[in-house]
Amino acid sequence: MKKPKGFVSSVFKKPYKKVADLTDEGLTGLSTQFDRLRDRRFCIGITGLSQSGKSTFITSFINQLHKHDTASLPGFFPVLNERLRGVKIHPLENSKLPQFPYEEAYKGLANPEPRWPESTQNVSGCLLELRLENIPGKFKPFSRKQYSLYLEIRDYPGEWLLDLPLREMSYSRWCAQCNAQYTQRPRLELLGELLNDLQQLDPLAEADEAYLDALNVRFVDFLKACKYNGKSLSLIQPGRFLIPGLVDDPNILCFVPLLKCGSYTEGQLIAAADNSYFKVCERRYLRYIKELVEPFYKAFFSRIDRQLVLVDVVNALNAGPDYVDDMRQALANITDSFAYGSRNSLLQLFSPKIDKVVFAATKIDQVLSEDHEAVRKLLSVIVKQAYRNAQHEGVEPICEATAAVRSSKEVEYENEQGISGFGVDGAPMGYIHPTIPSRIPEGDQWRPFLEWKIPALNPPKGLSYQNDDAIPHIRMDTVLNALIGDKCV
Amino acid sequence: MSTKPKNEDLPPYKEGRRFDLSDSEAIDSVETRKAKTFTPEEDERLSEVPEAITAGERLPHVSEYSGIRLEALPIKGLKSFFIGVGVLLAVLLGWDIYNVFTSALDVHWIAAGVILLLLVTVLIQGLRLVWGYIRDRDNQGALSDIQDQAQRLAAAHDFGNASSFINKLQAFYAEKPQAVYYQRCIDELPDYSNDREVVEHIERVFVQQLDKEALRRVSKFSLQTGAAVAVSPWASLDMILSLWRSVKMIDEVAQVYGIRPSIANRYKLLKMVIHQLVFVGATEIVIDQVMSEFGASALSSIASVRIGQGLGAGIYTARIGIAAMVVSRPIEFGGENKPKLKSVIQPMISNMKSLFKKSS
Repeated sequence: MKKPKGFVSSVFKKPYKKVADLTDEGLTGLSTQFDRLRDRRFCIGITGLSQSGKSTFITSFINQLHKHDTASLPGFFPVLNERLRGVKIHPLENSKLPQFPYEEAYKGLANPEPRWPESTQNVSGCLLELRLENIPGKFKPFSRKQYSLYLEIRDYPGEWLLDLPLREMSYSRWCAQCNAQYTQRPRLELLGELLNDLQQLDPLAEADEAYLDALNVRFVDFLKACKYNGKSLSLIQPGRFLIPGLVDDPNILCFVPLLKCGSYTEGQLIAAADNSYFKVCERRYLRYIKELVEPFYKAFFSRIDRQLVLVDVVNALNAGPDYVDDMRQALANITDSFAYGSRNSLLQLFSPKIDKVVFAATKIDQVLSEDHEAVRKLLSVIVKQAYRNAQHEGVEPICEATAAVRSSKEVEYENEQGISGFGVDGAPMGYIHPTIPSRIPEGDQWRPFLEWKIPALNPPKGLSYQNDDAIPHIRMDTVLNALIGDKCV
Repeated sequence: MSTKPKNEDLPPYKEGRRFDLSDSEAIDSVETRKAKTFTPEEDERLSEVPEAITAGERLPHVSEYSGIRLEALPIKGLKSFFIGVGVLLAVLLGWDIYNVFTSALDVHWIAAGVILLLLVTVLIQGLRLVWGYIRDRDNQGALSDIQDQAQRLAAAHDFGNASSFINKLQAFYAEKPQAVYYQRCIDELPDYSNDREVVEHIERVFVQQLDKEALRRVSKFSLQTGAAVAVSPWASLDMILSLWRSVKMIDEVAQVYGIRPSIANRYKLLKMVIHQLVFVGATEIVIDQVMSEFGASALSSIASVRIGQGLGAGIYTARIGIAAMVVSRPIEFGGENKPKLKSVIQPMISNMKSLFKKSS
């Protein structure tokens, strides 16, 4: 009796499981879509170049909402009206995506020796459930007293963001763009010998796999030098060369820009032999885009309804004119990948558009409060291209100066206002910085920033993980309200 | 006393100092703080968690009001509601007509025939209306087409593209009184001209004559309005009066340039004139201009408030008139030949003076 039973169950178990899986997935998928349609679930795209403070921002974002009863969020109306009942953190339905390491990051900040979250090496995400009370007096006879609002939040290495413009660029055009970049400072100096070698490489010659490998290693070293040698450039493509993440076939990452492509016509390049440098690199480039960039875009940005763009203005000022220019270029390139505009909810389901953009200057606690307004203005100049793109589609962007974690206070020093906090070495430090201009400095106006750098700060001491302390912030409530306030009614 | 500080201890700001104008820092008005790093005193260290700075604050508990802004909340579904209402009405109407028709058919076939005839007549009339409106719109469309082409031709130095422009203008002015003048102008056209010269010739010989006539009408209307407002004792009546005269004037100016008065044209023209006034010509501040162009002496004799009001209304009417000229002229005004308010205002002032001399 036993045998046939086991046999039967084994025959039926598999298909049953599959059907169950399918319906399960379908059902959650369906309810997800239904929530979207009811304006109860949406996706926030947190966009920021690497080192702009995405992970810290997300940590603080979750923290403020999670500890809304002790956090100071008077600018976020559901908290002010005491309509926010509670917040839960769920993993996203996509089981492949690891959960955002909120607890670790919060523990790190609330440590007796506090530290910033590690720079992100791989993707993660989470689903925030906001439990809200219905507005009393609003006539809704069939709804319950409370309802849930779901926010999708995802984190990723900022380096990968620069791959988005590649989606619409052919290999030869990318080579031409590289050629233009690499022959100018500061990249010219960082390239050194490599520039010559890249320029000498004949795209039509037969590919020598070993030489290409060696070149690729040197190219990756160059990209890393761009990124990690003191001042970091922003426009570094391809981003996966810096932080590969999970790549099945490392071969995809083995190509270099062929700077000599410009001296051949399109026709000559197309007619190149299959084993020529050009064809080998082009094939890998196209695979790179198809297998790495497209899935990334699809999973992270194709569905976003609200966008938050984080920009580290202070760091850009510290780095100097070339770097600010590079950053502007990078931000402009990235934002071309997003679709702005407002749609009705049914269309939004099928091809979402971003109907609200908030540009936030991060780490504003490094700046004296009287210069915050100047930083806001400076930010709007730096993101002008994106600002215009959004405005063009009737979306009025918001610029705000914020700090996800306020790690300084203002003190008086020799009759002047100064910043007091902890330096990166952990020792108490105070400073007074030059006046922040409200426009990008020109020529001589750069001097105060080239001679003197605004120092980086450590997180404040004294936060307690055990006591569920809320992280001190600067104007996170404004950002919260701008991003999700109107959805909470 | 020496101008140079001998002692280093002397505070430098007490001394006058010369600076080189080429030294940009010296004339840079933006003061910058002197950057410095210091070690804060024991009690000024960040010994505890700082307070959060929240919305509308510059520092904790220091409010800042400059950031106040409110978003316009669109009423969702307004458009779809109106579409829905429209469809509903159409369905109801169709249903009703069908009902009336069937019940009439029950009575007698002649009754049904009459209703059908009525229906068809109304339908045909509706179609004619729509057709007329579309043709009328074409009229205005043709003008903006001409304006565009004139601009393109004037910008380049090409040959041979002007004939289509000439033909377009010819078609536009056909069967209008301007056709005679236009034909005369084309006959005088030298045969060696390039496109730009053709446009310039047409402008000089044909359009500028129309300008004069249009300006004459503008001047007449603004004089009338000015005088009427100055004399009239009722302020509310003034407004209606000047509005009515302005609309009439726009109409007449447009006629000079060959735009037929019709509902569609008037509506479109009025929209363009308002746009021109509000967004394009907004920088011309009229009263200032009057002051600078005539000096205070010209206006000093105008003591009466009512004359002042009349003058203001007149100037505004003139502005509207000139805006109407700008939008309805087939070839855009160049920099120097744009009509000046001055040419209208001068006679208006003297007229106003004489008017009140007589009355006083």
